[in-house]
Formats: sequence, structure tokens, C-alpha cells
Amino acid sequence: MPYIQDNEKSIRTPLGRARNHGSAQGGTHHWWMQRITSIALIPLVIWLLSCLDCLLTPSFEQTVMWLNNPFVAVTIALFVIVGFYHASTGIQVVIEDYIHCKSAKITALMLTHFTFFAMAVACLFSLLVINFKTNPFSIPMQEVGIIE
Amino acid sequence: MAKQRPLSPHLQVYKPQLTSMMSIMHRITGFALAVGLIVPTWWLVSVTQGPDAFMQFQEFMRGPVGLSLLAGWAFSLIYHLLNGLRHLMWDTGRGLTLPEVYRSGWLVILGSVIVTAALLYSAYN
Ligand code: HEM
Repeated sequence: MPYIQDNEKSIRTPLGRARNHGSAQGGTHHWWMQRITSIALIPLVIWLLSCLDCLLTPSFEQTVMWLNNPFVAVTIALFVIVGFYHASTGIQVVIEDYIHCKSAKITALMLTHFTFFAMAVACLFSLLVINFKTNPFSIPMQEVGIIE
Repeated sequence: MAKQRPLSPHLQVYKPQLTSMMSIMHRITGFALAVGLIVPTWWLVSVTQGPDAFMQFQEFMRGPVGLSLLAGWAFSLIYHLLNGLRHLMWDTGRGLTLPEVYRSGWLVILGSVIVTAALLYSAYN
């Protein structure tokens, strides 16, 4: 959309200048998604905080077993999808506020979205590997190569 | 040419207020949380790489650096969660008078400290 200088010489009204340029039709999309993801994250992070210890104490075998519980796997997957989306769109706002050089801004935005998207895919893929390469009930984990 | 409008004074000359400090804290904690997502990513990926990679992860997280990061991440998450609820309340048009904003602000600070202390106490005992 061409930017028309708002100088005193112009006799065009603000409405006249805005007309026919259309709108991006997405003015509230980003804001709305940030609200939806915030609300969805409330139960997810409460659950996450309640099992912070799961990162530190369980053994490798216990961790694999735990992640093989469908409730656990699905909850983590939901957190990854919603949380990484909220995070990368959140960082986007921070970048837009503080980086004013256009090329630096676009580079930073792309790097942010690429990085968070790649991390989310790595998490989801790992969950799939953990759940479908192991079967804690019948096949010993050694046989499927998870344990040396 | 840009118009010679009066500019607002620089940030440094403003007296720090609860409202502005909590606002920037929401941003700082959000940013820290986002960067911290590297930890759960490392954790999940390490499980797929076998016991050695997993032990390496746990050794780091149980060390002084890992534990401090985890405690900082937990505090950030609790503050961001409680203050996020405050934001969502404002979005419904509630709690916007100055006394209410200050009251909910102190409530969030108090709540974050208490919940974080309780969580870390129960985790380390
Ligand atoms: C892993 C968890 C989370 C991460 C990484 C994260 C990250 C972020 C980031 C980077 C921002 C942008 C900050 C800014 O614009 O100043 C943000 C904003 C926001 N977050 Fe989160 N957040 C997380 C969890 C939550 C939760 C659980 C809530 C629940 C209430 C929440 C509510 C909000 C809200 C309401 C905003 C918008 C604030 C505004 O309008 O200025 N976040 N978050």
C-alpha cells in the first residue's frame, strides 16, 4: 500500500486517503491467537509445573515408560504445539517493538519462527520415536535399540 | 520532513512504578521462558538418543547451573502465568481502575513468590 505523506498542502481528508487501499483483514488475528493460546496454556503449564521433577530424578527407563503413557505423551504434545506457537508469536511482538531496521527485523523474525518451528518438530518427532520404537509391555527395550 | 512535535521524555526520567515494572517483567519472563524451551527440547531429543545422552542431560540439569536455570524458569512461568491471568481479566474489561490495578499487581507478586517457594520446597525435599 503506497504511503501518502500527511502534509499540510494536501486537501484530502484522512478518510479519503484511507479509502480503496483495503485492509489486511487480519488486524486482530495475532492478538486473538495470543489470547487463545494463553488460555489453553493455563492447564498445560499447571500440569507441567506439577511434574518439573520428572526432568531430574527418574532414570532413563522410568522416563521412557512415563513418556509411553498416552496421557503424558498427548499432554506434552499439546504443550509443545500451543506453547511454541505462543512463544514465537510472543517474541515476534518484542522484535517488532525494538528492531526498527527493516532488513534486521525481517531476518530476526524469520530466524525466530524457523527456530521455534524446528524445535517443536524435534519435540513431536521425539515423542513419536519414544512411543513407537518402544513397547514396554512386550518387547524388551534392548531389542528395539533404545537401550544399548 | 518529520514534524517538530514534542517528544515524550526518556524512560530514565520516569520514576519506576509498580505498573510499568510489572509490565516489563511480563515481557522479560515471556522472553526467558521462550529461550528456556530449549531445555524440554533437549530432554525429549536426548531420550531418543539413548541412556548416555539422557544421563548427560540429567547431569547438567542437576548441577548448579541447571538447577538455577530450572528455578528461574519456574519462577518466570509462575509470574507470567499469574500476570497473564491479570491481562486476560483486563481483556474482559474488568479490574481497570487504578486501585484495582495496584491490588491485582501486588497479589500477582505475592502469589508468584509464595507459589514458587512452595514448589521449589516440595521439589527439593
Ligand atoms: C511456555 C510458556 C510461555 C512462554 C514461552 C510465553 C512467552 C510469551 C512471550 C514471549 C510473550 C510476549 C511478551 C510481550 O509481548 O511483551 C507472551 C505474552 C503473553 N503471554 Fe505468555 N508465555 C508462556 C505462557 C503463558 C501462560 C501460561 C499464559 C497464561 C495466562 C500466558 C499469557 C500471556 C499473555 C496474556 C500475553 C500477552 C501480553 C500482552 O498483551 O502484552 N503466557 N508470552
